Amino acid sequence: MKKSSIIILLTLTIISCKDVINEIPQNPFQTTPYNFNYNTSLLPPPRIPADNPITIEGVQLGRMLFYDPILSSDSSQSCSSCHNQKNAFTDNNQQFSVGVEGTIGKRNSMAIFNLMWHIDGFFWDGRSNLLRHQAIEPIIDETEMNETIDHVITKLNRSSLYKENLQKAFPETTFNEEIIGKALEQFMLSIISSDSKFDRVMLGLESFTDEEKTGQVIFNSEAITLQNEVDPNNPQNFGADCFHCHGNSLFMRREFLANGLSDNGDKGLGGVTGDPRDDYKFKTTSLRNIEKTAPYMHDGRFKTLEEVVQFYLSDMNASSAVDLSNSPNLHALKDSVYLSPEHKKALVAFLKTLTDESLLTNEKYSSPF
Amino acid sequence: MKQTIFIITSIWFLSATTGCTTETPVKNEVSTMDVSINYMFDASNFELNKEYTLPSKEEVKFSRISYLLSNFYLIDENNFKITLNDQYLYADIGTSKTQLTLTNIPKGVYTGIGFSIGLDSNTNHGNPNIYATNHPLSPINNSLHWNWKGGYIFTAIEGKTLADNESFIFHLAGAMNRVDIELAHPFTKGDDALHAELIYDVKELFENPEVYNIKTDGSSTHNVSDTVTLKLFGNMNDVFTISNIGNL
Repeated sequence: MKKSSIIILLTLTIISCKDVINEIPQNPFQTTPYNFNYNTSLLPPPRIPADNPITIEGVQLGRMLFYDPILSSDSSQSCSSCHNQKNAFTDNNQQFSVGVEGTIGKRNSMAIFNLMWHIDGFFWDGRSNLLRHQAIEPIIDETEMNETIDHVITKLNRSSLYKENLQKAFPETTFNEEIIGKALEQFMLSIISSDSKFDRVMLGLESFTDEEKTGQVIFNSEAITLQNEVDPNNPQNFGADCFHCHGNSLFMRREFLANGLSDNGDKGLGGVTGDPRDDYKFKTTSLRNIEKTAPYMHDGRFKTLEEVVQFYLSDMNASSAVDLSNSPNLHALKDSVYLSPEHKKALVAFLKTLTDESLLTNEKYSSPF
Repeated sequence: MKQTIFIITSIWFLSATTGCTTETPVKNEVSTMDVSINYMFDASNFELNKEYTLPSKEEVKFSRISYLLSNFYLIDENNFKITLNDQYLYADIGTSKTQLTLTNIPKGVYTGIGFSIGLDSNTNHGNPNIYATNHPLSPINNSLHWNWKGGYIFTAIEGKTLADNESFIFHLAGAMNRVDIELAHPFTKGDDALHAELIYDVKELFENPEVYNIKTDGSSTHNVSDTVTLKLFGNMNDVFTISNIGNL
């Protein structure tokens, strides 16, 4: 009697808790959460896509895809061909990248790091809202890897190595476009840069040189035109006004902005949205690792940082593609701004403190092959 | 014996089923209040990139008006301030980020609400990297941060004057310039969520108490203590009014 009572009790309990038991997944898919190892006082909290949590297995699969020329039509190019880690994932100082057919692109290869904090789109013209979509475009672009997604999927599904890593990273048993994009997204989101000299100075671990200190003041000070010049010895009177567009710890701004460049036929964001107010607006890129990402601007028109500084100090009214009265962000820069040769040098010295050598050599971001 | 087992079984069954049933939610003593802000230029709806004549008679177009609100509180019927901690609004007319849901609003009878345009000194100069990118105080989200720990721009006003096609840019900052706003409007907070509608009158910025003339007073500032900054902050006391607070 006692035994039967216990059985009845257990049965009743199980029946009454049926809904709860059914909530336990029958076949839980096991991945390992990726640990972002950076000092959170230096960069914002991680920002992870809810439908693509970053896992060690997903990052590994994405890393393999990133470095594998299997993504290109003739197996000659991988993502890393134009995004070299040693150059902060830009294209080896090339103005434009060369595709598998020898065709030359029209925009400069963009750096890859700290992408999880990019909110308003990818590419110089912002045409991809999600990184996973951005990741697919160079594969199918005929001027780049010139491959079809169907063919890539076929090649990957034939590979036992990729099948094995797919099954570790995602519940799917075969590749599809979304999985390829999500894996590449995971790897690219995992790339963090926060160990520059600037960061170490912020943490109190190192100090700027006097020249770098002066450069920092110039970076963070308002631009003042020659006619307003008051004290030639005070760098605060000779700001370069960099911080308005590159001012936070990511050294970038989320908005796409026109920066006074002359027209080279590329309307940037305006070419995507069709809104004339967006013409000649481009992504406001991060200045972290800027020393390693030459040449500069969307079309790589400036070879050196010194040329970039000189451009911003020049009379933009003479050449700008946009009416600068519509760009208040350039209000202070649109007239010739004076910076002495010493101060220009100091500004560049400060910019070089933003180089994160560990990004350029970190094995986590290097080829897995 | 059988009776004992039956009683134990019944108690077990009841406790087991009760333990696995979702509890009926208890009505909270606190709730929410949605706040929306409508933008006006005197009696007309305000829009960016539309021509307006300032009280100084200058014709202008605005391209950006962004600001930060903080230090929200309610004033109860006994004239006590009920502070609503750690709630902020980043408002940007261009991107329609002008709505906020205030939480933890206790039930009660109130005579008005208060808030600040800008931030207290500690928040202003704290590490901005602690905020997730969708937080009102995230520099990535609001593009209203100077640099590192240099503090926030409390209000950014940008545009151009049409007569000379020259741009103006007012980046108004400085914890000492924070503008504390208090708006009287009686309302009762019961069980239901509330909705408050505020009006932000852009014309007030350039009119009250002192008419601001862009050509003569200045077309630019990023300084926390110059006359441009002080005059424009001084004109912010009456930019907000309440048009309604009621149940949703």
